[in-house]
Amino acid sequence: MSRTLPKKASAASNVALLEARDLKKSFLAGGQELTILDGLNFKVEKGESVAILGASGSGKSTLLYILGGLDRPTSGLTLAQGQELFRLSEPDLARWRAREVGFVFQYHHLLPEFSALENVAMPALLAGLAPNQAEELARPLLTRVGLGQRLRHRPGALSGGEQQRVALARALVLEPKILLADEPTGNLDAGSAKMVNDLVGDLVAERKMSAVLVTHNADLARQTQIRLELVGGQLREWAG
Amino acid sequence: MATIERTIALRYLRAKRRDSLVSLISVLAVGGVGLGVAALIVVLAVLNGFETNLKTKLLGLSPHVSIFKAGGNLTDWETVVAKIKTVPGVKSALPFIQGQALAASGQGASGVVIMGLDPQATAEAGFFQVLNLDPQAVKNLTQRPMVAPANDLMRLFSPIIFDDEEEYLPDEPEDSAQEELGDKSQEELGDKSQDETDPNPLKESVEGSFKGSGGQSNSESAPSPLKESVGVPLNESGGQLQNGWRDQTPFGAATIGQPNPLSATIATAEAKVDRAIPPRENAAAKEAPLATLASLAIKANQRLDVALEFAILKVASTDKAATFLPLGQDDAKAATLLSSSQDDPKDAPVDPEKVRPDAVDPDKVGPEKVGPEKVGLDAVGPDEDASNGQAAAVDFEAEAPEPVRPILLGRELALSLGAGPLSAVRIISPFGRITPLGQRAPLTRYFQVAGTFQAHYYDFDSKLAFTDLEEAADLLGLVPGEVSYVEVKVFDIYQADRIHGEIIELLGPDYWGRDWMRMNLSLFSALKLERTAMFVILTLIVLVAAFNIASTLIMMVAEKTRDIAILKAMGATSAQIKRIFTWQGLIVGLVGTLGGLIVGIVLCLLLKRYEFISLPPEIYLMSSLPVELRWPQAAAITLVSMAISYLATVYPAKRAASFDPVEALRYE
Repeated sequence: MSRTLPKKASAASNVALLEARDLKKSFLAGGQELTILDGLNFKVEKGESVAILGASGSGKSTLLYILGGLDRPTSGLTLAQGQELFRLSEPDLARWRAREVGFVFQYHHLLPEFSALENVAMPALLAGLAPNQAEELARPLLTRVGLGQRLRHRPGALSGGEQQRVALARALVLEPKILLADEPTGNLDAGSAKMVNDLVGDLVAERKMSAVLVTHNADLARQTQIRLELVGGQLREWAG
Repeated sequence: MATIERTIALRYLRAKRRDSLVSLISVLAVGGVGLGVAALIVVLAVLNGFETNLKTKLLGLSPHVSIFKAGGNLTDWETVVAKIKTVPGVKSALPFIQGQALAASGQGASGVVIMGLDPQATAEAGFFQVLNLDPQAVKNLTQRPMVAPANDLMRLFSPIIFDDEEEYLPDEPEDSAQEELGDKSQEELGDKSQDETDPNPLKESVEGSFKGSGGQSNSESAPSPLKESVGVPLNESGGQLQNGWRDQTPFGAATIGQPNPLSATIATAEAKVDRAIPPRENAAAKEAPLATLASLAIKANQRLDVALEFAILKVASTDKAATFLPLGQDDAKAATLLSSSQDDPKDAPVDPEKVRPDAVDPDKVGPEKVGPEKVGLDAVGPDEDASNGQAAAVDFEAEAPEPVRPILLGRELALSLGAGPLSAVRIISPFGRITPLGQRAPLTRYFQVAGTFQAHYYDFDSKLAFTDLEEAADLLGLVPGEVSYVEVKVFDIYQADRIHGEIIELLGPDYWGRDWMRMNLSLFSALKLERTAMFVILTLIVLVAAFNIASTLIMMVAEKTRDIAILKAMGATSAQIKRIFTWQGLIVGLVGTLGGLIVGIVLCLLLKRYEFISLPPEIYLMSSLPVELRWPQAAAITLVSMAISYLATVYPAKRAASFDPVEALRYE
């Protein structure tokens, strides 16, 4: 059965696409309370690309997950175009995430039992699209990232760089407004990393997407408009 | 709607590797369910079969409804039967006579329940089908007369045992006439070739029987062969013929354990007959008179052995169908006749041509000699045999020999009595005539076994004997036209109760009845309970399979925490995750159930067709494992199995759904 693409929220220009207000995130580790995010404030506007840098374990990923609605903050708000994310019911949140956000992780996180094409089509299938419709969205994307010949291959048969490109394609299949990427090239060798990074930059620019990229990689950081650093649970301009 | 979840679920059931189609774990889970379902199908089918078999046997053999008259026998059974047949649902209504008696044969005695019935009507009602009766046996029961072929006649006499032989030893012959007779008879029968020391049982018995007025019997000086022969009773003096032998039963008094002397006698006699009569005429010549005589004798409670002797004698003395002596009429006449025929000097030994009483030269022997006595002998008028000088052929049909009473025995009963088809059995009934003293004397009747039945139900096979209504009435002291009860069979056995009620209402207060439900209620209730218990127990197998599914699923979920996280990151809701794993369990359950159904059904069909498990029929009433598939049961099994499979998925799927994706994503 086919369904039309989920309705996207109309973008009011004055409201930030994604906003974090006074975010606090702490959790117990080894009997101690650890505060990762401490009253963090952050905004992303439509079409803005932001790089967030910082030491490992500083909580960059946590911030990203909270922004994407995958993780809940201990306190504070996450707003998507003015709407409190965590007020939404779980299914609604999931649907929002499917429509509006594209995730790319450090590790490819592809489903190993499915082919590249199926993986890319998966978000569309989960959203209720018919298989042929989903495939029609997936195929051009895979071609765009240069894997038009590897549609039927399973992740196990692909190289690291190829896997990340598939992941990237998957993130973009439902045409989200914002890309959230967590160290997309962290595991790749320099050559692949460069290719992927370039792709990210290109695609984000092409589609006029917002992007929040958590990265170590200075190259990738240089591709974004804004560079921030997460230090001490707070965001500040990146110096350097 | 659930397509994607199902697709994912299916994909997860497949093997990781491309080459193998299904993962081992899936196979095991499916196999567990399948095994449980197959076991349920087969075991329940077998239990069904046992129950149906038992029910059919019991209901085939027992009356659905029995109608009795208060206070005694039914005198107006035809009316009753007619009335019963008007009740809707009644398949047949048959009259029966039932009574206890004793069956005895040479080998032993056994209590027997005599069932008198109308063979034709009962056969038509299909009553005999359950009894595995040879149709010929039924025919024997229905037709009269029943005549035994000569060969089987031997069996008629066997095993016959006698009392202490001493009683029956002849005295030393005093009468010279006896000697004469003895020699003559020997000659007559062409015994010249015989060894002198060879006892001539024929002669002896002849002597013994007919030391009549003619005093013509004689005996050999050799030690009496009677010891091995038929026990001919002689009086002390060996003189006048007493009524003694007539009072004897055809088989003599029975003593268990004694060897049967008569078979030797018969064999010898037959041998003589064979010699005396040309082969081409043997069969016909032997058959009719022997059989007829025997039947006559039985009916008249005469000594069969004597009858046989006579028959053989007479047959030997003619070359065609013999004249015969209607026993019981006139011993004197008999003796005279016998002596006269043996006296005849013209009677030459051996030679068939000459072995004709009337074949004697009419010139030499005047018709007077073959006069009035012959009349008594022959069935035909005197003029005939006088005129054509040939042994007059006897029309046995015209004489209408009394038929032998036919009886059907249960196989076990027949075995214990040592009775085979056409054997004779003695039935002793306590309901005999009232003696002058006012007591009831036991009544003895001789029956001939028309066939045996086997119901595979020990109670029936060892106790029942069927004969027709007249004989049974005669035996059991019923007034002719009376029966003990009317047995009703119905179309729908579960209506028996209601029909019973309707019949009683129709017939009135004089009548009462019993129906199978009341009589066997406990048995069938127990069977039903057993089957229910079995169902529950076997469902446990499916339950175990369900646990199998649950644990398989839990393992899969644990294995796929990362995938769950990814799916959620892609926008899958918790409900969708739950559905994926529920589908996994359902697919396993469905495939397992269907597979188990197919295997179970195939196994049932194979068991039914090829019967490769056999049972000892004495214990189980049937020879092989009975199988009966009932579709409602199969449907129930399917539903139960699917339900259990589904329930097995609930917990693992729930766990999967509530899994926090960040956990997996973070610690990669």
